[in-house]
Amino acid sequence: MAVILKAENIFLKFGKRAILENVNFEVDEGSIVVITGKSGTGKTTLLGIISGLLRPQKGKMFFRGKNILWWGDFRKSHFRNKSIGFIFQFFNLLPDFTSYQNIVYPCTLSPFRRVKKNDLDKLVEYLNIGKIIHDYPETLSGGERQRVAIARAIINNPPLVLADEPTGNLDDESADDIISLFKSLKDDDKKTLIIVTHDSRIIKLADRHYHLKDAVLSEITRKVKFDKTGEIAPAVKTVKKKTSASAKVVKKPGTSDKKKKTKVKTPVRKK
Amino acid sequence: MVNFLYGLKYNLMSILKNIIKTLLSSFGILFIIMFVLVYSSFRTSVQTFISDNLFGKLDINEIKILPKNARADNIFTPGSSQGASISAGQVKSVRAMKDFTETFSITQLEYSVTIKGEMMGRSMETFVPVFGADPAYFKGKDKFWNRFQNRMPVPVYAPNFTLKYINNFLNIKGLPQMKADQFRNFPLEFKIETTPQTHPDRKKYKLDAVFLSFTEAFPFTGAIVPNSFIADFCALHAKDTGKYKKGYVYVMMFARVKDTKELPRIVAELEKLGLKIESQKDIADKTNRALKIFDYFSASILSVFFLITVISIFNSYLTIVYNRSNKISLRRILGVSKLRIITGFLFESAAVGLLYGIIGYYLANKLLFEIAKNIKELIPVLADVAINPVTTEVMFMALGLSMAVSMVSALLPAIFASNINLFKAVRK
Repeated sequence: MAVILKAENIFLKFGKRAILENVNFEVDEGSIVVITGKSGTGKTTLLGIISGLLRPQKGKMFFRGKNILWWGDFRKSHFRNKSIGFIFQFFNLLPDFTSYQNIVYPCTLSPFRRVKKNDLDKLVEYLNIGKIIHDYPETLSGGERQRVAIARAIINNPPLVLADEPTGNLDDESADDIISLFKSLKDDDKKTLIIVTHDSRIIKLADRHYHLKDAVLSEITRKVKFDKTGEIAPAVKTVKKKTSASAKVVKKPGTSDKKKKTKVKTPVRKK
Repeated sequence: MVNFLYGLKYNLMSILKNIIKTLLSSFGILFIIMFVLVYSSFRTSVQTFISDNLFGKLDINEIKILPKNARADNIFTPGSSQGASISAGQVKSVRAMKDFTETFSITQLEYSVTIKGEMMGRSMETFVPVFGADPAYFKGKDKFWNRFQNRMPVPVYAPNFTLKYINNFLNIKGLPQMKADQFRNFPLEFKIETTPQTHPDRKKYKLDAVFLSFTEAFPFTGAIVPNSFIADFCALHAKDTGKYKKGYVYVMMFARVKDTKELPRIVAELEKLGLKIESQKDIADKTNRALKIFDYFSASILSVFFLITVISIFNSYLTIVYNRSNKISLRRILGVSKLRIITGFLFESAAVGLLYGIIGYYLANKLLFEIAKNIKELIPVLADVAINPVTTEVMFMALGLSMAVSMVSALLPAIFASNINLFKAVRK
């Protein structure tokens, strides 16, 4: 599979605090990648860099072979509009707009683009939001709001969907709905999803799982459990797994044995 | 195009949604616009009043020639009473210059003159300076110019502001106000004394006169009669005191220049003759000098007003940006560029500015109307100033200013908005 996203030596710090240090990863097209980590470790910041909203102090972020960090604001905005769909924990629907207006809003940012009625009808049917299409967000349940948010995220048919804790604010039933939607987005629509989450149900779906700790991104290759803070529970044994074809991490030469014992793949550091 | 309208709709929706906050934030603009419009109209009116009534009017190709030591700013005092006059030799030299199409001299009778008139059954008599002018000077400036000839009864012009003094006088006496037309052909009587009061053989001449019109062409306080009448009268009574006295002096000359481009050279030549020159530009300068202090004072008030308004709008927009940070961030994340965020804010501020501009224009016109109606009671000294309504050009300028003030104040907050910490904002 082709690589849709590739990060090289991403380094970011706020003040004296390093948020991301030498982060390297690749994401294959049509895969689901999950990023976990304690709250405040920089997961959302990483999504910000992927989407071009934040600029790291060092490093490169390639989208289909082009370094998006070199682009100006216009091109980045266009990129976010056309190539990325965003899904948030708190849905972030525009409260003054109806569901329909929220969904078509990304289309209206291009001066000459019109929403094709057929496409919209299919999307509405696919997400089962026909009954609430003219309702305002405040009248919708959490699950309905998230479905509207997903519709908004994919209305422009972006190849990459970024989701930040998408089930974090939903009950189990609604979360299951959303997770199955993610699965069908990957399987049926061949979308690439990068999801920041602690939801084990989503982690199970993932082709690849990264964990962010102390500014270092590591790949988790085996089944893990998380404690309340979002950190990997220490008691769980993890087994080293071969790198899959859909997700590769370039291993740093000379990685120490001590780090190997943690059963968490060490961060990739290129010098 | 459809989406452009959608964007416009979004901006209008956000204005309407926050209409109270937005309007309150920019309230100061209303006062700025009203102040600017009322001031501009008032200034123009006062300027016109001063230049028309006090400094007199000159055509573009006309120059006023005065004695060198005349106090030019003392417009109520003709040259001779200050001991300043143009000599006959100087008059001759000016007339000999080939740069003028026409020259007109203004003379002043040196004898003591009283003018008598009967008005509403009351007889009034007062001392008055008498000036002489050439009839041709009034051609094109006054419709009665061809009746201004040396004949009996003597035709008399009076400066325009005399009417205002007369009406003030009538007002004090509790008599009704009069219009200029009501004075036409009004019978008058001149009493001219050619000898001093101490002279053993006092000679006083009574001459019938008739009032012709009020004129804007002369700024003198006094009666204006034909030059030839003064010349004839003085020639006739030159030896009343026993020895020859000319009886009149030249106090001023008007000349029409052939080519206005030559004006600097002509002025230099006249100055060499020992004369002082005033052109239309000088009159404008004088008027402007008179208004300069008023301008400085108003400008300082306006700038304080302006500063307070800008700071207040700026602060309000910062609050608005903070309140909308979630929406702004979301729009940025969905693909709205920084420039579009900034232009969105500027559009909003321009719309609010325009709205206040229109309201300010309406209120300023209302205020001017009220001032014009009640100016006699409000500012008695400017009772005769005709307050002009705001012109279309000034209106457009005010609307532009209103929009500009609003946009300038909102620019920095708009830039802040475009650089907002996006993820932090959407997590609120």
